[in-house]
Amino acid sequence: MTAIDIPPPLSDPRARALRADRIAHGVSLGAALVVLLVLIGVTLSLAAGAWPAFRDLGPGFLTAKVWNPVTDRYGAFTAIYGTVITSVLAMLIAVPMGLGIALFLTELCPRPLRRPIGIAIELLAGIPSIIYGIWGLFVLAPLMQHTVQPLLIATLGNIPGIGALFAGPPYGIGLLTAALILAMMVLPFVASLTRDIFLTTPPMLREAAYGMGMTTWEVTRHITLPKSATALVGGMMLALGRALGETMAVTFVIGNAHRMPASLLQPGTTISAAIANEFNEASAGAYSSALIALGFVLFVLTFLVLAAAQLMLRRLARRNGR
Amino acid sequence: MSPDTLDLTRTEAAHFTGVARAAKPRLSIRGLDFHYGTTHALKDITLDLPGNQVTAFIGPSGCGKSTLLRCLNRMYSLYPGQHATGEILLDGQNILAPGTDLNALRVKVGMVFQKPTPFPMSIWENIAFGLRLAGLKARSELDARVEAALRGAALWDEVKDKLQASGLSLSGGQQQRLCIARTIATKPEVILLDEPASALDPISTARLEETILELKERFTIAIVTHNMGQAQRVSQRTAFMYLGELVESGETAQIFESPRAARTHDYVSGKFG
Repeated sequence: MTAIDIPPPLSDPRARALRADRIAHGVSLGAALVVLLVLIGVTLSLAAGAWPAFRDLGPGFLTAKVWNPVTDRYGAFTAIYGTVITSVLAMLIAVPMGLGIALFLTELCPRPLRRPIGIAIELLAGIPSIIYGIWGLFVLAPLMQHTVQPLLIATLGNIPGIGALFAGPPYGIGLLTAALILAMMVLPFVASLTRDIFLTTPPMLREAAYGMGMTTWEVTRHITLPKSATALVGGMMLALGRALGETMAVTFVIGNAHRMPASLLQPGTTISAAIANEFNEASAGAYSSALIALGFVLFVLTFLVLAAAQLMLRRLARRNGR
Repeated sequence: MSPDTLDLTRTEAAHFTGVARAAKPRLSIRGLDFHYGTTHALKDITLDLPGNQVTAFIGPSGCGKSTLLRCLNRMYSLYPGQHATGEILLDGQNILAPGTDLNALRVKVGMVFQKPTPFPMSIWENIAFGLRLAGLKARSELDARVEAALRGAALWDEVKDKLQASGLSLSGGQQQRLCIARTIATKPEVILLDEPASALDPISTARLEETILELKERFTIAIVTHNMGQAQRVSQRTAFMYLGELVESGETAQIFESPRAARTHDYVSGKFG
């Protein structure tokens, strides 16, 4: 080592560069803090707006099944029920399909088809929610009413036990139609997320698996899926979070009835659909406070789902010894 | 499952007659050309790999030695746009022929990669997995074969008390020996090693080289390496490649001490590469 390595004293341009560094640090820190501030602000104003409803109705707000603005009685249970049922149903439909699409795209699809299908999925994800809504109301709902639902009633409706889920007249709109629309909306999200996750499997690991004489299915089942499990659970939870909060499309096709039907073919409502539908006509006071309280419940619900995702991810990470 | 089981027995039978068969080449490469896209990566390679010997492929980066290795188990077939012409005979069968059962081929020709690639499962399961694919079911037999494979890869003493721990919890050198154990467990006829020590520290590398020398007694081995010392320590035969061509092949001692081609001489004496 020679003396060349000793740095010269800081010249003016160096000092300016250092100052620029500090300013950049400050600006980016500020931007990050804004996110925190917005989150705290939203939480506080939601809580403040919802406070009158929680104060007057108590914990009964969460469990009461009556929602009647005329008599000023508000219960969130029907909306929570509709939100959870439609979202879970949507995930039950979208996750297996999304996994299938991702698997096809990463392992089986002929190369020339890969990009077109991938782009189609991204485009599907870019369609605004309102378009899904009017399509659902004018195209899907009549199809459900005249073809799908009569078929379901005639077949599944007669099976003891699950028959109750498919009972009643075919309205076209209702919980099942809303779940289908939701499934359609989260499907591109689930598919492209899953594909990206599958693509992160190290090529060498896949080659090692094929090198053991495994078939494509065995590599997927025993290598790609377990290797991706952590990220997949996280991704599915994100998708569920989306489904829980989706408003416009659901409002079009769910029927907006504060009821808790046993049958999936009957109208119901979700938290976000109820808020979107009723905010215009809500008088100040108890009614609007009850709606804000609904919003607060949705906020907490989404938070819980994300927290559960984090918890599962951490447990999975531990089990995989990482 | 019966074809795989038959393969195992056939391979086992081959072990007893290994000496007699050693004279005959286990793998014969005849006029092999390899293309991907517009690149002509291997040019008219002809080479014999004798049984129960270690053949080292050496040459500067990009010379095609890894590509050659990936032809021997048709790994390149995973990727569209890559194809090989010519013949590669494994016990007289051309594995490049269309309709070759790739899964069966890869059971016969095992491979270990540059970086350790343990599967996301327990140590025991990493090895038992391939055995189950080959149709082995009895737990006691699986246990015995797992232990034999781990002993063969010089890993048994380090992991015998934690067979249910994740394969990913091992150190890099242990993971690589786990991959070797996984490969020898199904008793392949040929083992391909693609720079198996490139991610390992010197001590792990030394243990790996000992393991390779022991494995030679039972398997035909092809190893790609950048390390001249390693090629001299573990191999009996060496093939020097340059820009997709096989420049020279022969006894390892001859290649390193009295190479016929000037380019080989320059490479093994460290003048380029």
